[in-house]
Amino acid sequence: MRGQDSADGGSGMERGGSIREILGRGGLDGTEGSGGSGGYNFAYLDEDTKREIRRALLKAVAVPGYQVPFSGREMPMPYGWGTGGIQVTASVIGPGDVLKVIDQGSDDTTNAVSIRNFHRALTGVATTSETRRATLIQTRHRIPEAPLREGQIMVYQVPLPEPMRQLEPSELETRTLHALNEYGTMYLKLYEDVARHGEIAISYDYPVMVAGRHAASPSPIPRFDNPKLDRSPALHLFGAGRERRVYAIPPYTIVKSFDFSDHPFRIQSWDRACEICGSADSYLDEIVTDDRGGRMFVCSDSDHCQERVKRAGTGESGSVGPTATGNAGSTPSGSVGPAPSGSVGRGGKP
Amino acid sequence: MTTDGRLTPGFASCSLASQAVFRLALAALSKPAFPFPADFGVLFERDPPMPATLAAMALTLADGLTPVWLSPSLRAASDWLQFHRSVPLARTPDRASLVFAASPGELPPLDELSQGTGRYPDRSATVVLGGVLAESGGGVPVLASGPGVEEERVFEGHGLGRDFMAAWARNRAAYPLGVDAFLAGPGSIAGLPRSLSLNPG
Repeated sequence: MRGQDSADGGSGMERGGSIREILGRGGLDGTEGSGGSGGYNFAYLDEDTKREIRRALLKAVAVPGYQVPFSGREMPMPYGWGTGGIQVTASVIGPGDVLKVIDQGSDDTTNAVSIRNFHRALTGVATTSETRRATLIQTRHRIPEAPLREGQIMVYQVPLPEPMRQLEPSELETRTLHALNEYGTMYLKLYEDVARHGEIAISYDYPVMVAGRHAASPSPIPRFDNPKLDRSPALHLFGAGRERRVYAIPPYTIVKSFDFSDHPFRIQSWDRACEICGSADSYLDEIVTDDRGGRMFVCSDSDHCQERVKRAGTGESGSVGPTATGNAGSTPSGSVGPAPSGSVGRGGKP
Repeated sequence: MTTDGRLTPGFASCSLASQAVFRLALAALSKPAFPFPADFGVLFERDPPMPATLAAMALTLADGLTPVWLSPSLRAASDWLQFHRSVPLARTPDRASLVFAASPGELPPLDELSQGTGRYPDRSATVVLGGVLAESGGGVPVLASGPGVEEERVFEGHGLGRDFMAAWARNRAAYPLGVDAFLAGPGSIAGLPRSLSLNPG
């Protein structure tokens, strides 16, 4: 073996510490294009395409929030299904990775299952639904509830990367505004919301200022997830396939949601808890259960929900499940949980 | 080397080696001024005609779309690089999008390199600087801060002198324009994105 490690760096890195770790167990023995789907290159894209996207990603990390153009390729699925995220994942992924794919927080929706199968077939990587185990998480519209850690990479599927596009249709003009650090129109949009609705009424894709310099779209995540981007230990990569842009938020970068001092940014809250796990501080989806107006609220992050059910199951038995507290509608948030036990509910958060 | 007129092979496994080098470069740029061990020698079956860390970065980042400038003592590798990646060679550093320098002494002034444009700051040069050891003394210790740095910490300077630190301060002042750099071994790699501040302690 040549090239002895001489640096003592890398301590504390979960992954990405050395070439051997990145290459994984197989090392370099895997033949070219050993994804398992005969005839395709490793991770589907050809090497030239990956190299170009990789160069764009490095520039994206160097200028947080700035949109780097790249020559997006046609993928074997329509635009809008995550072609940007898939190209970013394919350029980043290696045999040592553990991949998680979520769509609206769920690991088992059609889009998530298809994309996970696609990457697995073309790379042979391990996949998981557990946020903690994953090294690479491709996502549409959510950031997991479990805290991310250093060394993890989030890949976002982005439909509209330009936060000012609804205000200014010209790409030349928005690029000029970014260059001049001129974001007055963003505040105008927020002000119109306040004038019309009495509050800032953007519920998802809520624009952020990255590292105090570039306005960026966090992708259509609910504004509930915006605070998770601020000083996050993970690396966040954004890919817009149709618009052919990538951008990034490096770890420990200050990310601030646009707001006014007298109308500060705030996240959504619910006056009820998840009806499966009792979580009162996660993002909830409303599920229609029948055609007579029946509905229930459950965690959008399916892994988070199942983890809590599992943990509660090993702790106090029988305390978790859809409880019949159907009239919880007007109760202040925080006080709601599965009625019989205090072992889940807010206390479940580490 | 290519003194016998024969070219040595590139990566033993192009796809997997490129991915591994890129991931380390991405990690280095995301956690700036922090030396990551980079045993890039294992990626080659035979010694490449330039230091392994620089050679691996070149094969990972360069191709026909990236004019490359090689510092004088790396020019013996130009045939090798052109054979493996069809790179156009830039006659002067300011025309290159990738600048490879064997040592700090061969590094052209940063402000003469491509800085990017206001609308497209990504069109700036990326510098890959060799001959800077993570553990080598003699550098100017500075305080590193910026995106990717959790808490301001001391960067030992890797043998980089006051001139480089002054040049880097000017580079940082031009943000979002400016060059990005990798300190590439031997044996380690550290990323210096243009967003990084290096201030005297």
